[in-house]
Amino acid sequence: MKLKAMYSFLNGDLNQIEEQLKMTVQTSDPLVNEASLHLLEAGGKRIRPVFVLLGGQFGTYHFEKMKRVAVALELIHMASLVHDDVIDGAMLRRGKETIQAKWGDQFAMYVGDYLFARALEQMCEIDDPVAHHILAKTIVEVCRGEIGQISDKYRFDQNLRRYLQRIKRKTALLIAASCQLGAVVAGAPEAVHKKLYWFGYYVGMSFQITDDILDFIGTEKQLGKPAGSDLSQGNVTLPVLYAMKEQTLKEQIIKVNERTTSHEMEHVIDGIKRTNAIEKSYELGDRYLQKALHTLQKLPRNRAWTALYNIAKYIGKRKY
Amino acid sequence: MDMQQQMEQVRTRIQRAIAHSYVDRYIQPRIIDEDRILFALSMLRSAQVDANIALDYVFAMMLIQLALDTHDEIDEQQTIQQRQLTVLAGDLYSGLYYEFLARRHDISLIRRFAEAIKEINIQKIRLQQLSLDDLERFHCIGVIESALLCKLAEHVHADEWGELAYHLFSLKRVHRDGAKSKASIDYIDYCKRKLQDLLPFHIDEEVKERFSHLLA
Repeated sequence: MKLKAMYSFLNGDLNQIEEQLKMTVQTSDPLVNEASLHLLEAGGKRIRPVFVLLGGQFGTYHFEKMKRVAVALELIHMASLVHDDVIDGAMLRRGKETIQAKWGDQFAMYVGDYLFARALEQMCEIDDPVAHHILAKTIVEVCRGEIGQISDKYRFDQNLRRYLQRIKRKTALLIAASCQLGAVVAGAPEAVHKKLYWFGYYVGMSFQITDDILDFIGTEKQLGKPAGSDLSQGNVTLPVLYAMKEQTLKEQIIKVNERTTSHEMEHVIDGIKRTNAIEKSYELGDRYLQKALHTLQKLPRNRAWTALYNIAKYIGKRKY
Repeated sequence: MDMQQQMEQVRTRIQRAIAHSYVDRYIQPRIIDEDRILFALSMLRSAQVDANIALDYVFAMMLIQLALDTHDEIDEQQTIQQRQLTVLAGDLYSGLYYEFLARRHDISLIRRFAEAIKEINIQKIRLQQLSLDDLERFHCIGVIESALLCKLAEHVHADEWGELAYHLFSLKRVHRDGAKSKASIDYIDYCKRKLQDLLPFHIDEEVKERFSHLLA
C-alpha cells in the first residue's frame, strides 16, 4: 500500500491545508511571494500535517483549528529547511534550486525568518497555552539538536546514548509534537495526547535510524546523494557506531575527515557493510517501531488508529 | 529599582539565556543594544506596566532582536562552522523568545512580535532590491529598526511611542551607516525635526540624554 493511500480519508482536509499554506505565505512583496511559492511547489510529503490531523481524530476534530496547527508545523519545517540549506551550502533540494542557491545566503535567512513568523501567527489562532508550550519547547530542542550535530561532527568517541539524543532532537521530537498537538488542540485527554507523543517519538526514532542505514545501503539514485554521505560529512550514525566495535575497522573510520577522498570512503563504507552493523541498526530501529506499535495498542481504535498503524509499519519497511 | 538597574537585569538575563559553550567558542560575542532596552523600559514605565512584567517584555523583545541581528551577520567571509553556528544561534534565540512567552501564556504578545518579525524580514528583503527609491529605502529602514518596539507599544496601548521609535531608531541607523548622500542628510534632518515635535511628551531624562548626540 502506498503511503498516501493509508490516510486517503484526509485528502479533502490536506488539500485545504495546501491552499492555506499558499495563502499564508503571500505578501505584498512579489519577491517574497516568488521565493515562498518556489518552496511550496517543491512539494514534500506533508507528513507533519498528516500527523496533526490524525492526532486530532482522537479528540473533537475541528478542522479550522487543526488547519492552523498543521500549517504552523509545516511552515516551521519549511523555515528550517531553508536555513539548513544555508548551513549545508546545498544547491538543490528535491531536484529544485534551493533558495540560497537562487537568491543568496542572506536572502534565504530572511525568508526562513519570515516563514517562522508566519508559522507563529497561524499558531496564535490557537488559544491554548499547553499547545504553545509543547511547540515552543520542541523548537528550542530541535535547535539545540542541530547545534549538537555540528559539535559532534567527526567525533568518533561519542557513545550510543549521544547518538540517540541527537536523532531525538533532529527528527523524533517534531513528529512527536505533531501527533500530540493535533490531539491537544482537539481537546483529547492528557493520557491520550501523551501516548500520541510517545507514538510519534518512537516512530521518529525508527524513521531516522532507517534513514541512517539507507545512507549506507541505498544507491546514489535512490538517495539523491552518494552512499555514505553522512559519514563523509562527519555525521557519526548508528551503523558507524556499531561498526567501530571492530578494532581494525575503527582505526580506518576514525581517520575519516573533510579531506578523505571518495575512493578512500568507498573502502570504509564497504568495510562497514561487511560487519553486522547494518543488521544491528535494523534491530534497534525495529525495537523503536515495536514500542510505537505497543503504545498504539493503548489508544482507542478508530480510522486514524489504523492509519497510524499502517504508517508506522510502512516507515519500518521503507527502502528509500 | 532604577532604570539602570533594570537594564542591567535584562542584560544579565539575556546573557544567561543565550550562553552556549560551543556556540560561544565560534561566533562573535553578541552585542546587546542598550538603547533599545532603555527606550523600551522607559516606554513601559510611562504606560504604567508593572516593573517585573516590563522586564519580561523587554527580555523577550531583545531575544528576538538578537536573533534577527545574528542572522544579519551571515556572510561569505565566515568559515563554514561560523556560518552554520550563526544560522543556528539565531534560530535558537527565536525559539527562546517563543518558549519564554509561551511559558507566560502570553499568546497575544507572541502574535504581535511574530507580526513584527514578519514585517522586518519583508522589509529586509525589499531593502536588498535595487529598484527602491530613497524614500522607500528609508521606510524599509524605519520598519526594520522599530517594528518590535512599535508592536510592544501597541501591546501596552502606548501607540505614540511607536512613532517616536520609528524616527529615533531610523535616525540612529542612518547615522550609523554614515550619511554620505544628500538624501541621507535630508532624511536625518527630517527625523530630527519630527523628534523635536514628538519628544516633548513625558520621556525620561535618561532616554533624552542617551540620544542627545543624535539630536544635536
